[in-house]
Amino acid sequence: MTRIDDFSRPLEYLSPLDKYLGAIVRDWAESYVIPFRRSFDEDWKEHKLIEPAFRRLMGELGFQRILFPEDLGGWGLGHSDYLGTGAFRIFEEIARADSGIAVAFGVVFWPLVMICVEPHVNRRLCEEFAPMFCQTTEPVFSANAMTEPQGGADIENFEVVKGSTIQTTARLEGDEWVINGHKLWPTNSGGVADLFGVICTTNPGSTDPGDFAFIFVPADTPGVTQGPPYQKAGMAADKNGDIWFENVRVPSWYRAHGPGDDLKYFKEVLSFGNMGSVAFVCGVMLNVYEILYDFCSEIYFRGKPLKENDDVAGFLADLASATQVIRFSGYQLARMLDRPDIYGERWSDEIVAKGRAVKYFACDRALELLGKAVKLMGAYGSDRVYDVEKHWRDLKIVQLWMGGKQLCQMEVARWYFDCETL
Amino acid sequence: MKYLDVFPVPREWLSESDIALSKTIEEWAEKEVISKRLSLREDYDTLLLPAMKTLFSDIGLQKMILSPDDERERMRFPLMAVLACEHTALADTGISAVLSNVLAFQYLALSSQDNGGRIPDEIFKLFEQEKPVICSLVLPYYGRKGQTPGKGIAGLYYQVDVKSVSGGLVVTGTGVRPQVSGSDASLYLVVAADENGDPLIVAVPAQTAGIMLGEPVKTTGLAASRNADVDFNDVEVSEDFIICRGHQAFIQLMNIYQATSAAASMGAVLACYAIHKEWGDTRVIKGKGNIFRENPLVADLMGSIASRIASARFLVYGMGKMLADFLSGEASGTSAFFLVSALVTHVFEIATQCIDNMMEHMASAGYATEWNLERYWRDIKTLESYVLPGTVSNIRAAEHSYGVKTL
Repeated sequence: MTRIDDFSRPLEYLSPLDKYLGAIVRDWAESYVIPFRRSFDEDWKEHKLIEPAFRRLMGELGFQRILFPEDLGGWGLGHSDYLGTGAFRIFEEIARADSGIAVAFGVVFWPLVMICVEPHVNRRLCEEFAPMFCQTTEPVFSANAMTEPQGGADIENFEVVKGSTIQTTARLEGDEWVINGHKLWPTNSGGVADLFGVICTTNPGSTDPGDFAFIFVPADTPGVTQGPPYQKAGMAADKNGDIWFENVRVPSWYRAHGPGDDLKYFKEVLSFGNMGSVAFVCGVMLNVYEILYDFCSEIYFRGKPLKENDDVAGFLADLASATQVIRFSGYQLARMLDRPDIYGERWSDEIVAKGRAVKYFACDRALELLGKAVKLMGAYGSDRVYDVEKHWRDLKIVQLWMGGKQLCQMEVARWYFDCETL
Repeated sequence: MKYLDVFPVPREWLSESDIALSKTIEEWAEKEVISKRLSLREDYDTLLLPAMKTLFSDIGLQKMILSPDDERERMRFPLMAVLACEHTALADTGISAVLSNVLAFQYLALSSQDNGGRIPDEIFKLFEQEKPVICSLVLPYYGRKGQTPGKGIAGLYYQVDVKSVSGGLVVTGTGVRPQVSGSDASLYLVVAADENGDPLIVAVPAQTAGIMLGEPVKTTGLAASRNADVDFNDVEVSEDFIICRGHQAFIQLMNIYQATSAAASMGAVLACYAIHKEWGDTRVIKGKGNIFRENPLVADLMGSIASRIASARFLVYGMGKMLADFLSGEASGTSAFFLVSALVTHVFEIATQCIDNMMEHMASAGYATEWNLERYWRDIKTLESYVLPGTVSNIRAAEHSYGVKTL
C-alpha cells in the first residue's frame, strides 16, 4: 500500500539525522496533536489542549534548542550544512498534524536566524539568549514584530518602501536603545512570546538601509504590552495580537548586527520564511493525501469506492501530482539554503525571489486542490471530523502571511524580469 | 445597501412586490444581524435564532406561498425565492441556507402534480406557528463500504427507506445526514425510493416517534444550521405526507434547492464586496498616500472580481426566471435541470474564488473574525460541500449537453 513516505525527496540532500528527527516528530504528532486537533478551534484563546503539544516538542524533546551552538546547550543546526533540509523535514512533519503549530514553532527561530546562523553568528547575543531556550523544559517562544497598523506588508516590501514607513522608533540613549511603537499580528504574540525581534527605524522617514534596525526585546522588559489574541478563521495554535512598546529600554548590543547588516540578514529571515511555508504546505498535502486515501476507499459512489470512479481518480491524481512536485521543489529550495556556495547567499534578492516563487505557487496550488477535496467529500468535507476542512482553513493564512500573494508576485517579477519601478 | 445596484439584475423580471421584499430583507439584515454580529459573533441563541424568528415567522418567509392570493405571483415564486435567499445571505449565509430548505419545501408543495400543490393540514399548521419552521432536506448521498448497497439515483444512494404499511408509511434510516439543521428541524423532507425505484418525497415532522438525533456535527461554517446525523427508527407517518413522487418532482426539488443555494452564495459574495471595497478605499500600499485600490495590480484583480460577481448575479436571477417559466409552462423541466446544474456549479466557483481573492487582498484582516469576511468564506465553502458533492452536478449537465447516459 502506498503511503506518505513514498512521495519522493532528493535523498542525496538529506542529513544523516533526517530519518531520526522525522521519526521523533511523527511520533510526537501522532500522540500529542492528531488525536486532539479537531478541538483546537475552541481552544484558540486558552491553549489548554494545544500547550501540552508545544511543551512536549519544544521543551521536553528540546527542539527549541536546535539553532543554538552545542557549547551553549543547543543542537548546533545554525552551524550545519543541513539547516534548510533538516528544518524542512521537521516543519513538514509538524504541519502534517497542524500547520498552526508548525508556524508557531517555526517562528520561534525566525529572530534567532539573525544571530545563530553562519556566517553571521552574533556570539554575544547567542550567549545572552541561549539559557532562555536551552536550560528549561518549558516551551519558550519568540516572535518577529514586523507589521504595523498603517503599513500592512510595507516592512517586507523593502525594495520599494525602503523602510520609510516604519513608525516604530529606536533611539540610542547612552548604551541603551529606547523603543517606541505599535506592532500587529506577529505569530506568537497575543501573550505567548518571551522574546521579540523588533523591526525599528533609527531615523523615521529615512530610506537609508543603515537606519533599519533589528533589535531584540525580552517580552518582560518594562514598557512591553501584549494585547489579547485575535480570533481567526483557523490556525488556533498560532496566536496573534497587538504589541505596544512604550519607552522600552534594552542594551545597545541587543541590536542584531548594526547599520546595513540588519537589513541584509533580515532578508535571510524572509528566505527561511519562504522555505518554511513550502514545508507547511507539503506537510498539509501529505496528510490530506492520507485522509483522502482512506475516505475514497471507504465511501461508495455509483456502486464502487469513490477512488475507482474515473472522474474522482482524475482529481486524486492531480492531488498526488501536486504533492509530489511541491515536495520536490520544497526540498530543492531547502537545499539552496544549505549550499550558498553553490546557489548564492540566502539573503540575496535572487534567493528571496526564488523562494517567493515556490512559496506562492505551492500555496495557490494546494489551496485550489484542498478546496476541491472539500467539495469532493461533500458534507463530510466540511465536517470537522475529517480534518480536511481544517487544513483548508489553516493553509489559507500560510498563503496570506509574509506580505501576502501580491508582494510575492512583485518580488518575483522584479527579479525575473528586471522590473525597476514596481 | 446601494452597492447592490453596482451589479444590476434584469429589473423587468422583478415585480413591485419583489422590490418591496428585497427592501424588507435588507432592513432585517441590518437591524437583526449586521449591527449585532461584532459583539454576538455567530452565537446561535442570541443572534441567529432570534434573527431567523423575525425573518421566517414575523416577516413571514416561511409561508410565502402557502396562502397566496394571486396565482400569477405563485408562478413567480422561484424568482422571489432566489431574491430572498440572496438578500438574506447579505446578513448571514447560514440563515439563507436554512431558508433555502424551507423555500424548497414550499416550491415542491406548490409544483407537485401528485398532491395538487396542497400541504396536509397537520404540516400546514407547523408553518402557522409563531416560531421559525425549519425544513431539512434529506437527499440521496454517498454510500459507505460494508453497507448493503441500496437503491440510488445519480450515482448516489437514498439515505432512508420508506415502506407502505396499512394506511401509512414506515421510514427507516441510520446515520442520515440532512442538508441543514438536523438538530433543530421542525420537518424533515426525505427523498426515498418507491416500490418501483422511483423517487418518493415524504414530509416527516421532527416530533414523530422514532426519530433520534446524533451528536452535533461540527462544521467549517453555517453556524445557523446546527446539523446532526439522524436515525429514523421505524418512523410511522400517514400516506398523506407523501408530498410528491417521480423523477420530475425530484428534479424540481433539486432545481429550487440548488438555485436558492447559489443565490445564498451570491449574497455572501456581495456582502464581501462591500467589506472589500471599504478596505480598498481606506488602506494604503507602498507607503503613505497610495490608496490601495489605485495600485494597478490591485485594481486588475478588483476588476476581475467585479466582472465575475456581475456575471454570476445575472446567472442566479436567470435560474430563478427559468424555474418560474417552468412553473408557468413556458420552459421544459429537462432544460431547466441542465441549466441549473451547470450554472450552480459555475456560480459557486465564482463565489468561492472571488472571496478567496478578496481575502488575499485583505491578507490577515481578511482572515480575522473582526472583519467579518472570513465567516462568509467559511460559510459558502460549507454550503458548496453540501449542495455539490463531487462531480454529480457536472455529470448531470453532461447528460443534457453531451448525451451522457450511463453515469
